[in-house]
Amino acid sequence: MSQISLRNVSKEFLAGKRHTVAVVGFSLEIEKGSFVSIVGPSGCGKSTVLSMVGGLAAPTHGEIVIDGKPVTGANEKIGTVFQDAHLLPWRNVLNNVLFPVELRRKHRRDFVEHAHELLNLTGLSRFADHYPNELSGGMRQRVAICRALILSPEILLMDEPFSALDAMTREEMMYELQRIWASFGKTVLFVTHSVREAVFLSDRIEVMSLNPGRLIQDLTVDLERPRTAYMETQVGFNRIVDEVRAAIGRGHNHPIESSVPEMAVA
Amino acid sequence: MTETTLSAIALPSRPSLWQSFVNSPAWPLTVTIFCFAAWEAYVTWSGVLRVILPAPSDIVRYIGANWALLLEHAWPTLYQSLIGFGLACVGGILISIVITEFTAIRRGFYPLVVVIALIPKISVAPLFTIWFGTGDVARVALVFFIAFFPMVISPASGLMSVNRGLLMMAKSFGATKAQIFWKLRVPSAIPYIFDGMKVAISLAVIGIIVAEFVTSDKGLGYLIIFATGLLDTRMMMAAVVVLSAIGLGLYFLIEWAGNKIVYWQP
Repeated sequence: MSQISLRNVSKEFLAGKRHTVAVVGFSLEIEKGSFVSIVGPSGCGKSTVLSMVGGLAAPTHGEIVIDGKPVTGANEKIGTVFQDAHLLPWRNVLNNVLFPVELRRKHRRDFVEHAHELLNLTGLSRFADHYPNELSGGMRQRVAICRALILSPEILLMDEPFSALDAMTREEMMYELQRIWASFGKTVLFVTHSVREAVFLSDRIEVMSLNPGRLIQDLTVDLERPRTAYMETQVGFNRIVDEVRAAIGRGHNHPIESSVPEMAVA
Repeated sequence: MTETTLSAIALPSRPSLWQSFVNSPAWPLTVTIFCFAAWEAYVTWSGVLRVILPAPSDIVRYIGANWALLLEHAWPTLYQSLIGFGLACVGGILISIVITEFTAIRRGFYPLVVVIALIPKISVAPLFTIWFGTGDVARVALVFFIAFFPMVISPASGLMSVNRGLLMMAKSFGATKAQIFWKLRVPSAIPYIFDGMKVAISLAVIGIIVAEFVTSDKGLGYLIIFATGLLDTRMMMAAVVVLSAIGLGLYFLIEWAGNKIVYWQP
């Protein structure tokens, strides 16, 4: 049985008098322990899908089920990493990592050791008592990842977590995330703009179209793990990158009325 | 020839002695001393009556000879302004919480508050003597009234300044409304509260002096009015110097405390 099920999910917004359809008829089954990426053009509703899975927004139609239970709000099984680290500037690194522990009213002392382990794993052990304004962008995002993992969630939601970082740091973080995922075996739902990032990290890639946000292709990345920098230069990897790019191209400015002509362009 | 021209452009010239002097703290100090010396010289040689314009040295000598009198009158000015200021801080912060937490109250009272905030506060000082008598209560009430509004407006904007991303992050970890208030809104408001306090303390000192002008039998404001009757400009200026010292002292005390408490802002 899949861990996360999205069943015919739609999301509409009413902003003033304008009625916007962000996501339409989105169905997806995500296996426990798998790494699934959602890619698509800007504004296609990929972040909306993520926030609905995270319980921060309710679907207008359809339902989202996690481990057999419909999502009704923020779930303790889920840890989320956002585009910006969103650290509390008045708390040091350790206390930022322990923030969810406080919010869930658990005993801090039961989690301090785990927090240090996570900081160790992400190379931040020396910075536990530093404040966010003393850290680089990459380090802050690592802290945010530790914070998302502190309560040992089964599911990690990541909303373009590396897009605010420079290219070098971004690549570094990609390897690091693969390492973290391999050592913890979480189910990851990852939203990104970067096709190469998606191919590098994912088991499956879901391509969404623009206007309305609709799932138009589901690709399986059958490359062996762990993935390496060398693999990125190989034909197999780049064939998948091309496939994803082609699918995104088809998804651009899709007219609302038509159904999805899957192979029309190719 | 070309070579010399290029090197002349490329090499930054060493800062001249004059430039480094202007950039050092010695320069503003020199200018200040020069201005006071010019004042002293004007009084000494222009033949202006010292009764009309005392020289800086006269004022310093006067303060030296009469510090007991000045301190005796500084005390009521100091404690009454501090009581009014303290009440304004407590009352202002409480009201700021009420108006940020309850939309109906904010929307209902806001126009009225803006109108009252725009009243030139010292114009009601005589009215306060009718309402509150001629004692300490009337003076503290005026200080409170004048210092109150910045202590509502600054903390209120602080409480509402919480970054949307931080809110989303906290909600994703299941934060309750109370947790968001105590763990996000209050810490975000603290720098704003100190900004409000700096404005309020300056206004409080103005408030107490005006209140003492209107009605009092002690205090630096009283001393200034009393000295006017005697045409004793040295006494007036000495009182102004002591008053300024009080105002500056309190201001820097708040600034110092703010920098200690708001440690997370660089």
